[in-house]
Amino acid sequence: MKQKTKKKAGWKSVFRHWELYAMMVPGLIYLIVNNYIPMAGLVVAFKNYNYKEGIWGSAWCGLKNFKFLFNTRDAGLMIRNTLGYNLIFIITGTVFAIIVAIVLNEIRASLPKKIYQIFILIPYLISMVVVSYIAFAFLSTDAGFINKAMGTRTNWYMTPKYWPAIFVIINLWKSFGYNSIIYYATVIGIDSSLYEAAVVDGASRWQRIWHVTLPGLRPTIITMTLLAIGRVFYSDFGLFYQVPQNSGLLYDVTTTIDVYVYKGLMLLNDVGRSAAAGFFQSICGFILVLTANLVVNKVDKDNALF
Amino acid sequence: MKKAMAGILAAAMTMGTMIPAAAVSASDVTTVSLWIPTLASYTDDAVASVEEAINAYMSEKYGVQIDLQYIEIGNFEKAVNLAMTTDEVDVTCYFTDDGQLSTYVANGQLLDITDYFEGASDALKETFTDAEITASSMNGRMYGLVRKYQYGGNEVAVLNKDIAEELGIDAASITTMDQLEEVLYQAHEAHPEIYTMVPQSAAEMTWGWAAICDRGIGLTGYAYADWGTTELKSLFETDGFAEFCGYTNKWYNDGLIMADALSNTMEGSTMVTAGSAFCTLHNADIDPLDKLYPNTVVTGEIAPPRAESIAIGNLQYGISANSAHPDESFTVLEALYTDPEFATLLSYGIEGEHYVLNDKGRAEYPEGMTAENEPYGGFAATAAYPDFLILPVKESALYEDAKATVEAWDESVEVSPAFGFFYDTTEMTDFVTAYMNLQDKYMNACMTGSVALNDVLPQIKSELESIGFYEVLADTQAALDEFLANK
Repeated sequence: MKQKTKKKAGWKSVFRHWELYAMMVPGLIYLIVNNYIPMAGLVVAFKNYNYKEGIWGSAWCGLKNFKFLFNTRDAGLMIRNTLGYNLIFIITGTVFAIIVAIVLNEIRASLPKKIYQIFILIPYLISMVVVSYIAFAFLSTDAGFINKAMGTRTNWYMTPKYWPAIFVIINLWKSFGYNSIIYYATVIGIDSSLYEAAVVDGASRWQRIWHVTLPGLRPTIITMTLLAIGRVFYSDFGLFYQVPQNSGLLYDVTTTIDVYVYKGLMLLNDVGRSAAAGFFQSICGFILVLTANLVVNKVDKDNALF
Repeated sequence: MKKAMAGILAAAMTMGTMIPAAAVSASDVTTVSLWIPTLASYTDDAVASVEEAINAYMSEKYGVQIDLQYIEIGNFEKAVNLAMTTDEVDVTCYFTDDGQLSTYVANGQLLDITDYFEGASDALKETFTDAEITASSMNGRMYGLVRKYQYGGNEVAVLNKDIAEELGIDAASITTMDQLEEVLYQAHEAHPEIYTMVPQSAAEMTWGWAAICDRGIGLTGYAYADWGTTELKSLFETDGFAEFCGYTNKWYNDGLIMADALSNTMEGSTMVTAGSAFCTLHNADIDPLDKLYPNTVVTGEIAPPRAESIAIGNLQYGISANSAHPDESFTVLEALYTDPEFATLLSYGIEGEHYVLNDKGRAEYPEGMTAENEPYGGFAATAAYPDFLILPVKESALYEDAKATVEAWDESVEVSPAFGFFYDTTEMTDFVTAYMNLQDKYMNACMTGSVALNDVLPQIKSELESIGFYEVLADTQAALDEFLANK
């Protein structure tokens, strides 16, 4: 009875404020049309897609499209590379962004602070194609900055052992500005009375960072990490394909799932396999987010996503 | 008042999302979209004015209009593949030089035009040779019309003219790799400050296969054979590939080939023209390369004219299977090959504006216009259009009669004995994917000489073994032998 009354009250509220709800309609339509209806297209991952027959007319093929990801001797390599790089990116990216956010917070002069913020954000806005040319300016054998400065003639694009480090540096350079601003926004939101109390208690600057700033950042770190975990089966195609200039000799360290799918399917135009690869990445990411959130829920319930 | 305003706003926004795009334009004449890759630059205004001129002509003569879609060549295949999932594309160009025709047919992307072709005018039917019809057919059905163009090509080297003259090099007398090697070392010694040899394009040492081996056998992408033989091999085990890589590896180790060949993004001809490189290999045919690339001289034939199976009709025009107007699309497709007025408008642009006819009746740029500043790039990029044989001959051409010249060239070309053979890989896509990755890994590295083939061959063989390459090759060989026996 109570529930019925509540429901009635809810609808009453909708009728009373119908104009406000009506304003929500275009956005809702956009969301449904753009984000939810296309999900039905995932069915193509289970079909032998034929352009003429279209998504619904094409024949079902079960899990056949998923097999090509695993039915190759490169399966272990690309999964290792995708997961390995992402884990390193998450760890280094988080640590570095937090350090920069804390350093930004320690800068008192407002003009330099704003200038630093602008400069560290610029790499995030640069296309990976442009980054690939910047990298080439550094790594070119004959005219590269590094070889010139060191007086060496290292052929970077033929030597796989350097590239894991190169990828980490480029990824860090490109992403830390954006991430650090998110962490910085959290840092400046920490209650200043906590810092004042710490000062009164005689805490040093390091102790204030350790005991006030970092605990204050914990919810943001957890949220950002959980979101990043959801994408560990994806890779930045531009970073792994454009930056090494698709050099064949580097394939062992540049082949991630996205690169393999692109290269393999470029000639085959196989929509079904492409969809299957994307579906596999999404499902794995979803399961990982659920698992990580479950762990956070057990350890620190307040900071879990749901 | 606020509520009323909110209501009006919401209604306006909702209505805005619901107006179909099609309601904006309506026309009684059917519009057929025509997709062409760009080999030169086109301004929007120039394309619009050419489109307008074409439509004035086409709507009166055929009752159709054209929606011209020029797509940058690097993105062309991807853009067309995506657009072919809908009815956005009607008539389109497509490439087949990596055996893509079988993929297009297997995926149901191209309309079967056999019946249309059988009912077409004699003028269209007589345009194509049996070989050209075979090149656009699969399993006895036609899926497109090949670009009228000469087959295959020979292999030459393009040299910087200033350095060649300075060193007294008679380019035309160079007809072997050994002779080329001799002048490369000569140039390297005289000009160590520039690259002696650069890839033809990006990391690809050469686009032509005349000097290497027969490739693309059965439209498979993985089966190769030495020229003049039909014994299938992996690319890396052909004698021609080993010989070619032997030269390039020696040149690379001696500092003749640019060290960053594998990560190169420049065109070789551009570097040779600019004088930052001495030499690049090039596939040539009836077009004068030294006229295309200023400040260069071209060597004699290092390898004779040859055509792999996939080199015949390696660019074709067809109709998307999802076209909403197949009849009108075929009308346009036919006109591309049989209507010189339409073909010239499309290829050269508007007479007097984008090109002029001189008193010899040959086409050339209007005064003050060059390939660098022409607004409609078609005059420079004739190779992208379906049939240059029905266009006015260009002033720069070395021939009077394009058709006779092309026919004479085609007669001189050694065509792959496997031409016409098709091996169905529809159910082997996992293997093809694995193979293409493997080939990409080693091919350019070996061809640029960056690594020695002999050093990596055992590793390549073991990787080929692990993806089941040799079993697939044996099956393909059996099918090829049967094809040849029945030929």
